[in-house]
Amino acid sequence: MSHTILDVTDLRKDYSQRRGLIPMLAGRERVIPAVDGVSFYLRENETVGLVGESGCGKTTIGRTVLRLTDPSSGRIVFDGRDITRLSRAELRPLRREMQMIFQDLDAGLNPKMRVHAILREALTVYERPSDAEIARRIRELLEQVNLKDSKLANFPSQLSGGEKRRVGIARVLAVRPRLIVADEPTSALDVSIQAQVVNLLRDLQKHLGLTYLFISHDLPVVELVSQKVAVMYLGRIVEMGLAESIAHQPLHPYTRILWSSLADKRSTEVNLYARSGATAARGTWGVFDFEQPASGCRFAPRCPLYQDKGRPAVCTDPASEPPLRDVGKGHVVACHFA
Amino acid sequence: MDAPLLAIENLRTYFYSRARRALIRSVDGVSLHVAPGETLGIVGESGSGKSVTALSAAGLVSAAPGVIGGRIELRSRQARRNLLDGLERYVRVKERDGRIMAVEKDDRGWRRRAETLMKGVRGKEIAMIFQNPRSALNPYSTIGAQLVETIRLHTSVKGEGEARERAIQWLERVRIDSPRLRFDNFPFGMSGGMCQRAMIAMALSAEPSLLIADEPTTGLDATIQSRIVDLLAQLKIETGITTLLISHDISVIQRLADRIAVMYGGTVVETGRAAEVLAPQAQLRHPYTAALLASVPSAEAIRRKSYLQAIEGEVLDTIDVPRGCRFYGRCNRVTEAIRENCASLEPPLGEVAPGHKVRCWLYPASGKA
Repeated sequence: MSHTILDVTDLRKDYSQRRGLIPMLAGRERVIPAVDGVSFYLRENETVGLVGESGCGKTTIGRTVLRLTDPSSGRIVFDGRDITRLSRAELRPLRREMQMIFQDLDAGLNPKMRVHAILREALTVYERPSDAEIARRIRELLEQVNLKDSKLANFPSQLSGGEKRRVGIARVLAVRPRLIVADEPTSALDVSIQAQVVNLLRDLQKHLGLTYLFISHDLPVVELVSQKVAVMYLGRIVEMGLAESIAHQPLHPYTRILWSSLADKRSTEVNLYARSGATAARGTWGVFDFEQPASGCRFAPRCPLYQDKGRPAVCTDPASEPPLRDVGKGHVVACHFA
Repeated sequence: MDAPLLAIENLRTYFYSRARRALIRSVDGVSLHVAPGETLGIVGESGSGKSVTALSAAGLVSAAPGVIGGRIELRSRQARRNLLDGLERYVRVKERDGRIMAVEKDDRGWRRRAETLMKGVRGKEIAMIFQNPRSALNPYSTIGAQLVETIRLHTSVKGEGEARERAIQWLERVRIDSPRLRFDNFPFGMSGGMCQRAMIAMALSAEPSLLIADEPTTGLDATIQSRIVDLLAQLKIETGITTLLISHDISVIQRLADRIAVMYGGTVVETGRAAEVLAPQAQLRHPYTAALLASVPSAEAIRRKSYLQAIEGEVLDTIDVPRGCRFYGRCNRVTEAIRENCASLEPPLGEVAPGHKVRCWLYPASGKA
C-alpha cells in the first residue's frame, strides 16, 4: 500500500465573530466552530472527495491542511512531518509540495500580467532556471494542460473560463506539487467545459502521480474521480468510505438525502414529479445553524430517521454526539441508528 | 395548440464590445412560443443568449445597443401588445451580405417608447425570479413589507390588513416555516434557499400571467436546489402559471419543462417537447444537445471510471460568429456529405418530427424548412 502523504487528526478551526466593541470587551465573543474535530488521511496518488453543503467547512479544511489558515487545534502531518505549528519560514519549502486550485477562476491570475509572465513567475518562485529551461518548462506546461501557444500573449481577461482554469492549473503544476487541494475546480465552468477539466485533472494525476483532496458539491463528479469520499455536515465528517459505498450504500441519513436529491434530478421519467404532484417525505428542513448547534447529534433537527424513530432521546442527548463508528471496509459513520 | 401567451419572433439583442470594437450578437434571431399554462425551458451554456432572451422579454436590457429588432407579442387577459411595437423607427442598422455590421440607435427615444409599452406589464403581467435572490430583494425592507407592497400595487387587494394576510398566505404557499415570524425578517437573516422562496412568493403574489425564472436554482446547495425544484413543480400545479424557465442545468429543465429550447451562440438549435428532446433513446437530436447530455457523468461512466465525453473547444464567442453552422467547430458528427454546408451555410431550424425542430444539416428536413 502506498504511503500516507497527509494525515489529519482531530482538526479544529474556530472563527470568532465579534459583535461590536462592547460585547468584545465584555468577553462575549461568539465562536463558530467551522471545522469541529475532523480526522482523515490521504494516501499518495489517491483522491479523497469532500462533499457537503455550503458552510459545512469543506473549504476551511482545504485551507487549513495547507496552513493557509492556522488551525485552532489538532494535528496535520504532511509526508511524515508535523506541520501544525511550523512557522512561515519553515513552511516555505513545503509550500511547493502542496498547492491549491481555487474555486475562483481569477484567483492567482494577475490581471495585469500576460499568461507567459504568470507562468514564468510561477516557475521562478523556488528555482532560478535558465531562460532556455523556462521556455522548455512553459512548453511542457502548456502541453500538460492542453493550452494553445497563442494564449501565452493574452491577459487573463482575454481568456475564456476554461482557459483561465487551465492556466490556473498550469501555474500550480509549475512548482511540481505532490498534493493538490482542488476546491470546487469545476463549479464556475460551463457544463461542456467541466467535463474537459475533470478529464484533465484525472490525466494529470495518472501521469504525475498527484494526490488530490477534491472538494466539490457536484456528487457525480466526486463519485467519479474519488477513491474515498467524506461527507461533511456542520463542521464534522458524518460518513466516510469508499466512493462506491458512499454513493450506493450510504448509511448516514444525511448522505442518503444528498444522494437522493441527485437521484431526483437524474430521474429519466421526465416531469413525473410535476405531473403527480407527489411530496417526497424527506424530513423537515429548517435552516441549519452553527450558532445554535443541536445538543447531541447535530443533524437531528433535519433528520428524517429521527422523526421516523419517534424522536429517540439519545439523538438529542447533549452527552452523546454520535462518534464515527467503523462498520467494516474502512467505512465509518456517525449515527446512532445507521 | 392554444394561441401562445408569449410569442417571440426573430428577436435580436446585440451589445457592443469596446475592447474589441465589435458587436456581440448575444441573441441573433430567436423565435420562441410559450402556450398558456406551459413551462418552456431554455437550456444553454454561458454566452448562449438564454438569459438575454429572457431579459429582453422583460424589457430589462439596458446596455447599448440592446434590443434591435423582432417582435415580443404578449397576449394575456390584461395586456395584448407587441412589447417592441414601433420601436423599429429608433434603430437603423447597416447590413453587409445579410449581416448586421453596425447599429445606430436613438436610445432616449427607444427607452421612452419601451417604458410606455412596458407600463403595467413588467412586475405585473411578467414577473421574474433571478439567480441571486439576495440581490433582488431590498435589504432595507422586511420580506413582509416587500410582499405587501407588491400585492397592493399589482392586485385588487388594496387594504393594509388584507394585503398582510395575503402575504402570509404566500409565504405559506412557498413553504416558508413559521411565516408569521418570517414576515418581519430582513433578507440578510435568511438563508439562500429561504430568500429564493421569498422571491418566488413575491413574483407570484402579483398574480402575473407569465413567470420568467432565470437560473432559479443556480448557486444554491444541492439539497436546497432539489427543494426549490420541488416547490416550482408544485406551484406549477397549484397556480397553472405560464413559465419561461432558464437554466444551464439540463436536469432542472428535465424536471420542470413541458417544452424545451436548446440555445447555442445566440440561436435556438433545437426545440420540441421535453420528453421527446431529452428521451435517452432519441435518435433525431442536435449534436450539441447530444453532447450536453453526454457530458453529465452517467451512472455507467462512474461505475467504469471512464472518461467523460467532453465537448472539445470553447463556448462560441458571439463576436466572431462563423458563416456556417455555429457549432461546426466543435461538432463531432460532421460527415463528408454535409461538410461544405456546415462550414459555409447556417442551417435553418427544420422540423424533424411534429413539433420537434433541429437546426442541423444532418437532417434532410432542415433543408426544406
